[in-house]
Amino acid sequence: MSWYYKSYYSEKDIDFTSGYLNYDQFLLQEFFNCSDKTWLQIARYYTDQHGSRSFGYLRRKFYEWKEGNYHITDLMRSRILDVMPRFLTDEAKDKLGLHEFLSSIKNTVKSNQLKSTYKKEAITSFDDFVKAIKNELDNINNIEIRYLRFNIISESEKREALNISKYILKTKLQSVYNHVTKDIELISPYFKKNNLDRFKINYKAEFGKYSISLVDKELNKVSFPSFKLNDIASNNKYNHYAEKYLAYELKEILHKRNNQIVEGFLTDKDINIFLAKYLELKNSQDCEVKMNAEFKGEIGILRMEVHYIPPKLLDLEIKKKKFSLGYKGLFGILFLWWIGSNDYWDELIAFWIILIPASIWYYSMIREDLDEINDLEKKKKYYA
Amino acid sequence: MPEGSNKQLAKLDNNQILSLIESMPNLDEGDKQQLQLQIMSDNLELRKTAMDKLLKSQQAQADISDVMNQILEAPKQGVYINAKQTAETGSGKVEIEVKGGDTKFIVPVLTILAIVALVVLFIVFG
Repeated sequence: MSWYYKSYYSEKDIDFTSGYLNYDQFLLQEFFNCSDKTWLQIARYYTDQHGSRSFGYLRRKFYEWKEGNYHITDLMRSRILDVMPRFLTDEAKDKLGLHEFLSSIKNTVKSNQLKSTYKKEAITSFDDFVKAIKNELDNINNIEIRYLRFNIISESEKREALNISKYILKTKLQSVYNHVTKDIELISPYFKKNNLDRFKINYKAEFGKYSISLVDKELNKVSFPSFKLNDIASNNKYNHYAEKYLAYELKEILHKRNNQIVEGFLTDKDINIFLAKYLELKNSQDCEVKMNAEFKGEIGILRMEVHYIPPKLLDLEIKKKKFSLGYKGLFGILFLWWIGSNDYWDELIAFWIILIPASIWYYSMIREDLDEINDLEKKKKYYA
Repeated sequence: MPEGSNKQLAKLDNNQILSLIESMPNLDEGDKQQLQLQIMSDNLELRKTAMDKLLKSQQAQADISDVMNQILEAPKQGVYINAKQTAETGSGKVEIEVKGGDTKFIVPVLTILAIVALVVLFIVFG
């Protein structure tokens, strides 16, 4: 194993998968791995700035610090960091440029992609949804790269970074748009069925700061805007990295998109099972059916609820209620008859403190039964 | 896998990304191969998940059918049934609550109960 391997400041590639660069570490790495020619330039400049004594100390300690055997002093560290930006090689500048190019894409995508917020903007119609998508698309088109840490990349490279960022953002938005569209196309016929079968249906989906909620309404046909992703061409010295980054990013987006498709690929089938079973039970006319279902679509959740009572069961319920009412009435009549025949009226009045709440309770029970019978009669008409 | 499900899974779109990767002139062969392998492996994983979901859905369908058979048979067997079943399907869950069956005996039972109640009331108050 060579000393170079052990070296604390050995030459390492910048981690281009990360949006963050430890610039101080990068400068120290460049310093401890500089060529003889650069070293001579640094030596001259350093001696001019800090004197030959300080440079002598730096030269003596160079390998100890490089190998990480001794901790570099704060003073020397700050002096090296101060000197180094002037002596960066073209290769080092390219590395910084590449970092800046890729990190500007990552940061632009990160800060502009749809973010979930606590407070949601409600979408209750197709038109609102289409407006929200158009709005997001406009926002993407108006993005600018405002801040670059090193400002090393050229204007055309900045534009390319911006184009790649916009491409990624539009692909992500298109995924959301496709998922919601597929969900809505899938559930739309069931909203129509709702008018026939008295289903309670609602569809909810969330994306970014938006919350879609469609409840029990027939959906009109809407023509969705179509946006096509134009192929982007990268033409700069970072081509290889730019394409690699883009390929991996698109692979992830596509994987996520396919994942969502798998999430919802059985929704249609499951809804049909639900409806078929409901209709089978309803047609048998032998039982009261209460069904709830929750189906995941590609992005949202569809909830369906239905309650059906066959008229013959309602008839039975009405009969049971009438029996119950009859018992209660008969009990009251017999009780009064018993009081009268035994002449207990004085005792009854004496117990007024019990009699009044008992009478109220008795009346409310009878009232409740009458209301329920009325209710059941209405239901019978509704389900007939 | 049933034909319908295959049709649904056809929506899994890998061709777009594969042709895009293929058309990238600056990606070296190693990168292209690695990406293609990852895409294929992701795709296999997704198809496995889809298969699990499909099995779940079929199981749910069978569970619901069992309960329904019991319910639909109840009137023939002269029993009254009150059942609740939750089945997890491939894309969610279905909850069915059913009350019903043979109701012929309910009215006679109520009538007998009424007579018994009347007798009791007459004994108490009579």
